Amino acid sequence: MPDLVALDRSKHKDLRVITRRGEDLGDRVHLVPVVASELSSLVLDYPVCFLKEDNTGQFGLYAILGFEAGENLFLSGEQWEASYIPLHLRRQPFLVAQPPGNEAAQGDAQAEGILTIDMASQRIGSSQGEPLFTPEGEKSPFLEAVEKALGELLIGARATEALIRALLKNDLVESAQVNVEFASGEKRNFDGLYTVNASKLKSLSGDVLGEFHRRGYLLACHLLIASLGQMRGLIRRKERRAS
Amino acid sequence: MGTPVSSVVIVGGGTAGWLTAGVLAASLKKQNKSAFDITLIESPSIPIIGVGEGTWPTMRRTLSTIGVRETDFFRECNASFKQGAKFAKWVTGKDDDYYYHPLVLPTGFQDTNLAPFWQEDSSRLSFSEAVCPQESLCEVGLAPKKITTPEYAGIANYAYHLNAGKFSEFLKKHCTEKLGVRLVLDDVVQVKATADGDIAAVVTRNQGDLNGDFFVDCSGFKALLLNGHYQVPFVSKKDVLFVDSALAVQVPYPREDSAVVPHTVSTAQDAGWIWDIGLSSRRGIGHVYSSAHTTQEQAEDRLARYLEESTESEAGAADLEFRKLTINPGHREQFWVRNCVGVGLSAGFLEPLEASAILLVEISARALAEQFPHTRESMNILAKRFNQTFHYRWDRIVDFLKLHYVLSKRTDSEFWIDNRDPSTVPDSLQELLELWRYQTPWHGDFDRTVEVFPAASYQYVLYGMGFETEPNPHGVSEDSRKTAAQYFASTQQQTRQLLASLPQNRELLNKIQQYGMQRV
Repeated sequence: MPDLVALDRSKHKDLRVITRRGEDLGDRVHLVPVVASELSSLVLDYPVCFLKEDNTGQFGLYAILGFEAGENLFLSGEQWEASYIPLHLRRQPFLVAQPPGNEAAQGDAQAEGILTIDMASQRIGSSQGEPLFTPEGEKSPFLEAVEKALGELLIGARATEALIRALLKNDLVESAQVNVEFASGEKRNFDGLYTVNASKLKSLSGDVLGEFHRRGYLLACHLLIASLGQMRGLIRRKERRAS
Repeated sequence: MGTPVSSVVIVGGGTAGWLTAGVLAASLKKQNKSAFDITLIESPSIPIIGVGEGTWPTMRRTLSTIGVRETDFFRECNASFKQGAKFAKWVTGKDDDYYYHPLVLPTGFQDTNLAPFWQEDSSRLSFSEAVCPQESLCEVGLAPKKITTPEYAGIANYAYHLNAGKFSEFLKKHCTEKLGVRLVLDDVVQVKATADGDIAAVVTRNQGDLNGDFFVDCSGFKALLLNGHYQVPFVSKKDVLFVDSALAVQVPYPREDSAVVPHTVSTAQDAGWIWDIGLSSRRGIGHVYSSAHTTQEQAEDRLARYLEESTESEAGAADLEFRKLTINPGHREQFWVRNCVGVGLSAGFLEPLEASAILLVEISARALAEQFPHTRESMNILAKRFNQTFHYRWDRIVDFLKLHYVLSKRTDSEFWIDNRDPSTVPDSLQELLELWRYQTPWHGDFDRTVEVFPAASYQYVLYGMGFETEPNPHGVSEDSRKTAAQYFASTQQQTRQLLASLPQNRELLNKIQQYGMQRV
């Protein structure tokens, strides 16, 4: 259970956060929510797909790190074997919460949320890791980087929602047929992954095409389609571990 | 070159008119290069009957053909999921007497007939419980899918309960705004014929003549064209199906979050039966009965008692208004005459025991769309075939409805006793019943591509009602016994898995309101 409290300069002045990666630090995940602005970095290593939230059926954007729950094929001990780590992992254990009654402001990118920290996270301690504040009580460079990541995530989440809405409106989302064959001969089909319908994308024209280009949706679509090629990379990672 | 058919005039709105308009417009647009002129004349003064609130699973394909979003349909028509029908008190009339006619086929139905194996040991599970998961899902009120399941896809097979009035409006909006169907609000007062007897035009009260090459009569019981103009005789089925009256009532839910029963409940009474259909917004309940076996007062009394027993609200039935309808069971001797075809109540009507009314509209509209007469010259041949096909279909529906009555063991009223009088049972049904004494219903018994009810439906009703088929005197092979055992086991496994994963029906309906379903 997360235990979110508002970050407080005096209460939390001695707090440190462990920034290394590790199974013991909650990195054993096979899916990570990502935002569209990360796509150009993600595409170098990760397949990125749409998945439906179980509870609402609404699409979210995710980087795929493994083939089953708990399998993170990018994690090797304390090392993350990729050039880019998704913002969602880097911002932990911090979160921006909207104060109660401020839901209306969520549509407003300028709206200030409250920076909170999950006190139940294993990343928190007082002896090792990065300090949050300087001895003078100023924000540490680490905390400033976290705030920047959170800001990017917040804005990115809205832009990603808008992208998904535009894709759905134009009927551009399709089920991704992911059939994987491992060197062992084992074959598996993965359901529940969705991507951009390339042939429908190609047939976009006129105003819609113009708008897709202007808003960066066209680029996002091409990056998404290209990222599926990283499934092969993911298979190779899995096979390397098995051997 | 023949004379091309390029304009269609549909007389009458309502479920039949708008469904036909939608299916025709969407299909013809897809098939043909040149546009068809489809006009629907809706009377501003005649209200729709609108008690047809149950569909078959075919409606999913129909709606998808017409091109509407399932999410919009749920939101705008107060729709809910229907996973078949529960028949209560049809066999003995006792409180614990019920069986299901689910929509999921028996496990392995393509290659294996489980009925004989179930009969060997019918003591533990009902037939439908043994061969498919749906009865178990219905008994605990689960939905047939999840919010993550795409539109029109199901985890368990399903149909709909819907608000017929809202459904007509929903289709009307789509047909006129998206499919180019022209709506004329007017009353038809006269029919103009050509010299050789085709309909040339219908004359409206305020907007004069509406010419057409092809006319569809969706004017309801009046059958303005088939009956009013062509005077096609009516074939009564009252000697087989006694029900001729109905009392209908709309019942609110006690609370906003009240459970929505995911199947139709049909409870037998002493002179008929009561339907109970859960929409997302209210229930639609009605008593159909035989006026030869009871009075309207008694029927009202039965319905009031049912409402008292089955609704939580303390107000009970006191302030609810019953609407009386007369049913004339049967159909026209011909459905398609010259350049005019009847769809819906104008073609005929039977008691709503198996929700055949809207189904017949769908399959009529689809038959028209798939074999639309390109020319006047092809029309007579198509008409002949259409009439043959639909005669067969009506007869099979009559047989199947009668089956529910013939298998009853109730002796508490003349209605049930009279229903088993062999002189009231069609020969075709008697023959099948004789056959099924020795072998269970199987695909070959119903081998036409135009079948309405598959052999599975007959199995569900026969073995749900305790019919006994004698064991095969040659015994069954070990191999087939093993296969059957595997299917029985996989059914139970699937049942457990679905019970653990599917949401409550109300919960899913609320989520569809809030989030909608995805198209993929």
